[in-house]
Amino acid sequence: MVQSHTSRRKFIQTTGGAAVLAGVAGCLGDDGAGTGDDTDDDALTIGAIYPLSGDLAELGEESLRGAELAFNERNEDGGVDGQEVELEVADAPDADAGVSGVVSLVDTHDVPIILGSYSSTISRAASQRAAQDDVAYWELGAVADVITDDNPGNTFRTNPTASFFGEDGVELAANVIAPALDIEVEDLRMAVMYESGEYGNAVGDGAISVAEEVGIEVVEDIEYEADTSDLSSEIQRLDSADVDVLNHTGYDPDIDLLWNQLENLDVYIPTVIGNGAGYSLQTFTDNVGDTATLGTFNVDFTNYNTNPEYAPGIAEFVDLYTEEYGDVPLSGHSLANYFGANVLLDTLEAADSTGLEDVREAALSLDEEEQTSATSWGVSFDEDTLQNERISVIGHQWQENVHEDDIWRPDVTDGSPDLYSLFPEEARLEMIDVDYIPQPDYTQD
Amino acid sequence: MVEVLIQTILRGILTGGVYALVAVGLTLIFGVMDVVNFAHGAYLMLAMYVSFYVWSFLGLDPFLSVLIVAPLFFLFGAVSYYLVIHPIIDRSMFAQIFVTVGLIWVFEHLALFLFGPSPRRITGEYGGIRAFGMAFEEVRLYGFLIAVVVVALLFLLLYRTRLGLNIRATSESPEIAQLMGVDIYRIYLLTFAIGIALVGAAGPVVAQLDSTEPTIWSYYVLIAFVVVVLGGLGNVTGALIAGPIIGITEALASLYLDPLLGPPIYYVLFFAVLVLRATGQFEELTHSVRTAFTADKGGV
Amino acid sequence: MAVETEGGGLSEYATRIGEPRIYLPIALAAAVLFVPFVAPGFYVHVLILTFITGTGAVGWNIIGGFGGQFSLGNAVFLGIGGYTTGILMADYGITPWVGIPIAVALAVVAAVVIGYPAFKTSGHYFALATIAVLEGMWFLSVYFSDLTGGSTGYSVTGDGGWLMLLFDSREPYFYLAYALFLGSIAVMIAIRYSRIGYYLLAIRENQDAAEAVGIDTAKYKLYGFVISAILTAVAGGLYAVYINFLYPDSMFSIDESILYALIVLIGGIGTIAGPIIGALLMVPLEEYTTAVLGGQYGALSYVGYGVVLILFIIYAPDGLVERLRFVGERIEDAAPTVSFGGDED
Repeated sequence: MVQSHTSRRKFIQTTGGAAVLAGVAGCLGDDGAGTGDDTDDDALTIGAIYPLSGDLAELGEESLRGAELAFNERNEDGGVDGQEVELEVADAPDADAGVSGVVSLVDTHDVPIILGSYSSTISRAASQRAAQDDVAYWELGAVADVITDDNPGNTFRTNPTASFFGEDGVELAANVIAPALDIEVEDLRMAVMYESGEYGNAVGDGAISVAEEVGIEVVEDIEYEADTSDLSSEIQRLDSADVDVLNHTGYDPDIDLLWNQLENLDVYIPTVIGNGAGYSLQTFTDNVGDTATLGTFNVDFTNYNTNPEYAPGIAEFVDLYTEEYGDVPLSGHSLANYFGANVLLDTLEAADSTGLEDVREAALSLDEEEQTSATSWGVSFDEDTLQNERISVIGHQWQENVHEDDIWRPDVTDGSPDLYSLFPEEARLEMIDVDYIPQPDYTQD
Repeated sequence: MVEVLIQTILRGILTGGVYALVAVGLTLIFGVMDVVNFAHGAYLMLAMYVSFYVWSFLGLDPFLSVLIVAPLFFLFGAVSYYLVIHPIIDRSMFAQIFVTVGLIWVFEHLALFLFGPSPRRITGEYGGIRAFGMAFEEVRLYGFLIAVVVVALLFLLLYRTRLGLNIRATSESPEIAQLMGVDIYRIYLLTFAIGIALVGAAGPVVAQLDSTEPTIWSYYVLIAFVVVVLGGLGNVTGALIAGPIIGITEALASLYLDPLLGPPIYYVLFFAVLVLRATGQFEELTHSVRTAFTADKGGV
Repeated sequence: MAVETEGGGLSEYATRIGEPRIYLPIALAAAVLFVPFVAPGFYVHVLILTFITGTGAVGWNIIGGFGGQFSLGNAVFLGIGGYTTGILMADYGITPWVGIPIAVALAVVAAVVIGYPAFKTSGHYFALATIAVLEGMWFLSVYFSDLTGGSTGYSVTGDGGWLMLLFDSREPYFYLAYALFLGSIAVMIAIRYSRIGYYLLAIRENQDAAEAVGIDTAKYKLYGFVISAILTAVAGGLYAVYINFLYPDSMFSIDESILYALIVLIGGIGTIAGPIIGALLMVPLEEYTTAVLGGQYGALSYVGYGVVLILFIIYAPDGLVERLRFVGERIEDAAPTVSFGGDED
């Protein structure tokens, strides 16, 4: 899932002109690629494609870290069938670069399998290309349903898709928010607002169609360009529509813009459901202030303040990550990619070879129940779509952090907002409960 | 419903004022030097970073920091002129465009290297105000007022000072200005420095209403192009009309049509104005309006 | 600007086949045919991209280099070519052999519709007008997502084989793209030494003077624009069948538009060799930078690129062709002139 702001106009930042300075490129060498610097001839090399430069770099890097942690851990445990595994990484700031990345990994580095890729457009372009070479493509984080719905035959996905976000958000509205607001579900007025990129469209469309099924009225359907500097007309539409719940999908800058303008223009919306992205990051509360943050819901991959009985190993993952990278994880991306990379490694243990057919057979043979992994996800791939079906997203809420025994940022107890898992209930830490419906009136701040 | 319409138009005007503030330096440089500075938005991006750090380290009111950032960018503009613009000032359009494209790379990636990709924002300094049952954002209102003040000062500089006379003469015809004893390269230097100082002044305003990040420049440079073309090259008062026209277009399109259709509408407008201007029809069309605004003095 | 003004045309080239400066490039071009047999697949891939982008740059050179009309919107034709070919193929099952000609026809219409009004402007204004069209098209391609797939992208699928031009191996694409690139170069040379070419050069040098001697400047600029649109649209069609994935950022891309101009500028604007050398340098280096160098030094190396670009424009404004002329002359001196008996000199 794409989280950082993706400005579409990179305006030749990655194109040509690049070029002129072959000298510099030569001097810097190629340490940019590959984590397995100590190349071992006997090791099994898996390709990895993530955006590590450009607009998506921040969370592309966060995603890669999860895969790296899984590979390191596996090697310490003796590798796959005794063979060491390593990642050969290609940087793909956009879809075109993803295609080149696949060609480079397959032809130059001879990798039998590729994993990635954080962004849905990168994933689609890259997986199609890999299919032409009969190379298995493992998607560990991108959400667009179409990636596995229109599977080119080689693409395995371990993480939940965009429609899960839509469904969960609508269920949250129907089962939790409507009762708390004392409104009948069919009278609940929901607005769906999303940025016009791949990510916003995937999640926004899902939310709208599920809402219609459940019988929630979608009173506004607003698609906007993420680069915009003014959302006041969109806010006017929300205001006029007398919205009870806003379901919003965006990147950090437009999320910040929306909330600052809501506060300044005195438009109060009782409950807001975010869909990952900026809504999961600490910068959200830094940029919109504590009052507006508190009570905001967020449907997302598993984040870290989750009950370890529901997601066994989650606390250990935070420790592993902190030990390796010197700070707590930035977002749930590293965890989701850690999970997916482990499923891939388990598949390789079970597979006769790294050929597509053998990988497919091995993957389909995997059978893990839910709530057995650090994300809580289980493993069972659909035979046709190759989509993992034992997956779920979690409804989180921003609440005051006064707890010493939470998992993510246990050192913070000053009451500033942190993200806590709420739904399903088993995911909840013991001391956490639903609160802030409707949320505090941030316009009075 | 009529209140909603009026409120939307007024908000569009305020945001458009900020667009005008961003664009006025570009129109000055374009009008006088005949150089399209593609890096204009990149200068704005740097000004936003400077504003952000002045705010977060010194705790200074962001609007007051205009008084720091603008002079700083005057110097920055002068240095950029010496190093980069002066060598290509008499060269082809190709050279001029790609030198400024080169500046974009340098600025954007320097910002990425120094500050990282996470967006920053000056928050919590100003809120909203209510008037006649309508709500507005203070930041955009003050931004609009700063734009008006800046344009008025620039107007006085151009039409009430000796320097302004020389700038206008250079803009009219560099050859004749030179014959009249004007050191046109000194004028170019000052024009570029003033233009960059103006975009510096926009930095603290934009840093309060949008996110500061290395790639933010692309959005604003395109908006600035539209403002410059609609307002007329080098026409500083025209920018103050064109900015709000775009702001209103966006606001109304977002309210009544679809937010994605605002830009196509103003790009059509932009294209039409370019063509009509080239054929002289636009001047006929707007003759009365323009004379009303610029009195008997004409544009820069 | 380095432009030969004497003689020319493809037939002229044919009669001078014995000279090193003619037969050496032809020999080199023939040698390229063997690349897929010897080079690793990644190099083949990079060359395919080079040929596709190079075709766009050649197209740009006709209107931008010869005609001096600085279009920054040529990717509009890439987008029209790509989306038309792709949509006809995946949604309607129409082969690109038919789809690409339809795309070309649409690109011609678009070039006339855009060019007719836009050529009333000139210089910077023309550049800005073409940017406006491109940006407008970008928004429309996102807005009409039922047709284009919007920002989620559009997968180009179909049956494999020569009918749909879908292959699992890269070799067919290599030869298709190479043929396109060579064909576009032939078109460029033919145009350069035709009446259109001479008139475009005259317009570039001094439009008023050209008009004064009776050249219908509006008409010839439009011709040049249409030809560049055709070449770019075919490149877009081939891109669609090779990459198989279209989305607004790669199709209606201002980056790509600027890259076309930049390739020509680096190579040598208005020259025959400029877009060829520019593309052969810039595209592989771009691919190298992202696929091999990766993200870690990305930011700093781009700062370096920017500085080098600025220095290059200030100190080597005529492009690499001019800078490297002495190298070419050395080689020519070393290679013998072969006489076929029909030499005019």
